[in-house]
Amino acid sequence: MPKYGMVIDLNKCNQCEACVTACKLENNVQIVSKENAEMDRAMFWMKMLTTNYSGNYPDIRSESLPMSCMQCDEPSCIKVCPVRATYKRDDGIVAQIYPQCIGCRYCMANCPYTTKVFNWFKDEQPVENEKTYNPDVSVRPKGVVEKCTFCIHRLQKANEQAKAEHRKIREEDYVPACAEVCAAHAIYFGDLDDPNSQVSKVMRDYRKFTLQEELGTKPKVYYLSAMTE
Amino acid sequence: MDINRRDFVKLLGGSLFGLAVGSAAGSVLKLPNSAGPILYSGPRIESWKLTACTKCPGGCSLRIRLIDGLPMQAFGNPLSPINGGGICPLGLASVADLYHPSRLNGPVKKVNGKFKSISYDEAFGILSNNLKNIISDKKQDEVFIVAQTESKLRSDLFKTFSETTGFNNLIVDSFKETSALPFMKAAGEAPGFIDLDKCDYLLNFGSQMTEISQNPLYFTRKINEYRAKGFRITAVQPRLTPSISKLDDWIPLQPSQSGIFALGIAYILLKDEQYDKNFVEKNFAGFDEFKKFVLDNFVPDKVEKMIGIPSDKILETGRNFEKASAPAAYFDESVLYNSNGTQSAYAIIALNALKGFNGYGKIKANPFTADSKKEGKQIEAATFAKLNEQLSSSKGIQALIISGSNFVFNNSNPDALKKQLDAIPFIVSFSSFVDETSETAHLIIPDHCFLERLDLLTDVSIGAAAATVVQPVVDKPFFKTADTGDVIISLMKELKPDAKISYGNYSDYVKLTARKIYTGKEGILMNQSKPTVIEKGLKKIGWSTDQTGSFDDYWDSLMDAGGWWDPYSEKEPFNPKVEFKNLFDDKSFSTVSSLPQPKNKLRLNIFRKNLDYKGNMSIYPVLVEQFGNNWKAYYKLWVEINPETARSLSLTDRSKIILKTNKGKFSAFLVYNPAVMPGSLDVPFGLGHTVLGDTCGVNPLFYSENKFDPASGMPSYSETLVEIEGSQLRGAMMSGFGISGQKQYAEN
Repeated sequence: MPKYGMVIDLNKCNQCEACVTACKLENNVQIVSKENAEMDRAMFWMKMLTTNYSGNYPDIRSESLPMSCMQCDEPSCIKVCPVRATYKRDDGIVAQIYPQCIGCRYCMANCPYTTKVFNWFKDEQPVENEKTYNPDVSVRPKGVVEKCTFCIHRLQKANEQAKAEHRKIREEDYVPACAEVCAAHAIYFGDLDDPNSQVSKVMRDYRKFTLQEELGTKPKVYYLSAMTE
Repeated sequence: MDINRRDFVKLLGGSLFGLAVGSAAGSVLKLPNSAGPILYSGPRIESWKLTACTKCPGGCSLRIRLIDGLPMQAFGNPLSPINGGGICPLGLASVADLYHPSRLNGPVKKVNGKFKSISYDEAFGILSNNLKNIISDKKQDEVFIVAQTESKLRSDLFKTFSETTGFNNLIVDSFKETSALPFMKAAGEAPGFIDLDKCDYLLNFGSQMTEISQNPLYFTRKINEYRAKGFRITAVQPRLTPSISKLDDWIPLQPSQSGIFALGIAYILLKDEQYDKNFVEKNFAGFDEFKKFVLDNFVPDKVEKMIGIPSDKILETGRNFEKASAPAAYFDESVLYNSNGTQSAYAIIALNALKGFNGYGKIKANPFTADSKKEGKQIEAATFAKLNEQLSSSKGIQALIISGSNFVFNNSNPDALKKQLDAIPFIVSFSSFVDETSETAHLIIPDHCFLERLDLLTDVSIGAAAATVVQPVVDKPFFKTADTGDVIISLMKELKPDAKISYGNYSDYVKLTARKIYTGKEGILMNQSKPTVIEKGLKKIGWSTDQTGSFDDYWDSLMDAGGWWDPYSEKEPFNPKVEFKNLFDDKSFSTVSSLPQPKNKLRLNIFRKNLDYKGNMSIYPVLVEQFGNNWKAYYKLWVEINPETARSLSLTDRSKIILKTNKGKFSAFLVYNPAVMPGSLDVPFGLGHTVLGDTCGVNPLFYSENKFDPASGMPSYSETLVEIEGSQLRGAMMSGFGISGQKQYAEN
């Protein structure tokens, strides 16, 4: 059984935010109304986060990173879900069963990375966006928590295709939207347990780190730090 | 399982109740409109088609995902040498163009101030009759054409139209052509590309290379490769943009001071005698005068006093530049957004000339290269400066033809401009939407969406000859729109029936260019594997098999492949003859050097967000929401301020402020950003549309001083002083803010 994970090379990332847009469009993530956005209810499964400014002006640089659900190996969100709407699959993906979610938001509170979002309202969507909804992904109702799924619908399709062709799934068959669109090729994705996969190879880089490692959540989204002088 | 009578009745009752509720709910819980085209129709058959993005000059190849023949999503084509599978937010969002509710669905004419639908034939008749009358009155000089297109073929067609009809005032409002303006004046030609394979030191004057440039996605990959080789970039610009990496050297400088800094670097090269004497002798007309001008006026100590950059830093940068074998001082359109923009560009070109333009190159046998001298003449013929001048003169303008450009939104004085436009008897627009500019038109013949038309993007600046195919991904256009290329060709034939025009429509015109690739027999289709060096060598001596077949077969293959490129394009040095006689106006440098800034005022520094070339991102709701995401400033204008400056003015982070300029007041959301130049307020351009797309926020350009670069007519982005209402000064901190950023720089 593969164990899916992601490595983001911050040295290559140029913060173009294509991953943010791709995620939003691929997963039919709701565009909230202006009023809701004002109340910090904008929904992004993937966001570009400026975490820090290092140095003093003018020798100053911003430290930014693309951030989605960390797909933890020891996810703190599933431990608090009273209805088991969130669970970890055998392939390591932390998934969400939307019809089962009761919207208590315990998982959001317990996620140290604050990457989960809540559907407060069902806002009217722009026509042009509705017409380009991805038919592979269901639109979530209001009152449920949502988050990055590593584009799990793509895995399902890749599995079906591989099964139809009587073969095993190949590395290139399954790539989340964010990794696919990255022009800098800064996002690597694949089976962390396969020593020959590209993601395993780049993970051996000495620059590797995870966010809030000390919490023991064992994120499966790794970063390669940006190089400095 | 046993069921007794009571259970059966219960079950039956329950089922009937369920059915009743279900049928009632059916009428209430209708499927959303969104589901219509997808769920109501067809078997959900997925298909993919290749086309190219026309949203910027890059020419990225796209894979469009269609469900039951309807485009749903866009992705990058991994086989494209330009974007290598990548795609930017603008490209991702662009499929929405097709379904946009504000799209015009056919020609309209203005009747009593309102647009009324008319037939194409009527619209074309109005257009041709108006222009025929102007030709018969011999008033062609009083017609202006403003064409914003990033397709070289399209801009060439407009040039041909202009030449054929005698409407010589053509402004090609494209990123590349605007960026090339100073080169065309000083050197007569623009470089083909910056050669990042050869370049070993890049001095970047204000270009947001990976965000808003000639080819952002190509630069994204190429600059990563460049940095991996250990080469450095020095970025000279007022803002710490995402293009600037931790490994780069950032010199914060107001754009209007770029020219002085470039000449300060030139001083080092001239003083150290480390310039390319051979090149200068042959190609630099008036070099001695230039040398004297620089040595007399731009001693590093003097430059430090003028712009505040420490002389040591100027010396260090100068030495880096002079010791590099192929340095490039790079600039693009962004440098022109200043009242001395073209002057600054000349200074940067002169700096390149001192090193023989070694960091630049051009393709030796590019099948698509037109006669550059001719282009130069065209470009010189009309700019926004000339349009502004003629609009305000008594001569006036008889007709204005607008294609794609929303120059009213990109102007600092839209009200006055609109009044001037109102005085023009006939304005025709080919815009797909009613925007701030096309709303002034008398007639609109909307263009197809880029997913409905054919084109070939041949000017992609990747250091190799390449052409990406734009092709219809839908069976037929959604509405009664018309390809502007077709309209222009028909118009040309109507106005000049005797003219020799070898193409019947735009499709034929595109095929003529494709034929050049076919007959050249060089390069490969994008879906073909790169030939080995041996294969290439064999081909050179005549050992090759022709597998292309007829042109029609080749054309079909080209469409299937999404494009063509020549991986073995031969490069040649860019060796133009330069002359700056009468181009340098030392006054413009001396005036910017003083930059008076009163104690209680800050400098408004307008910046462009990632990929928002002309403020047209607002038509995409997904991008408008994302616009201020970094600062959690949604659907509103924000300004960024250095915390030190903010504290001196008692301004708190994330507060609402009122800004006051000479043109009025506007409110904004203030955020602290320690990378902003002290004494400046960084404000994004792109919000504040009044007609098209989301109308949230404010356009800061509307509150800016009416200062323009006299040569190009581009509005100034950074020469407006602003006061924050209610802010309290702490006197001492504010003294000499004009160069305090640099003062702090010197202290560090």
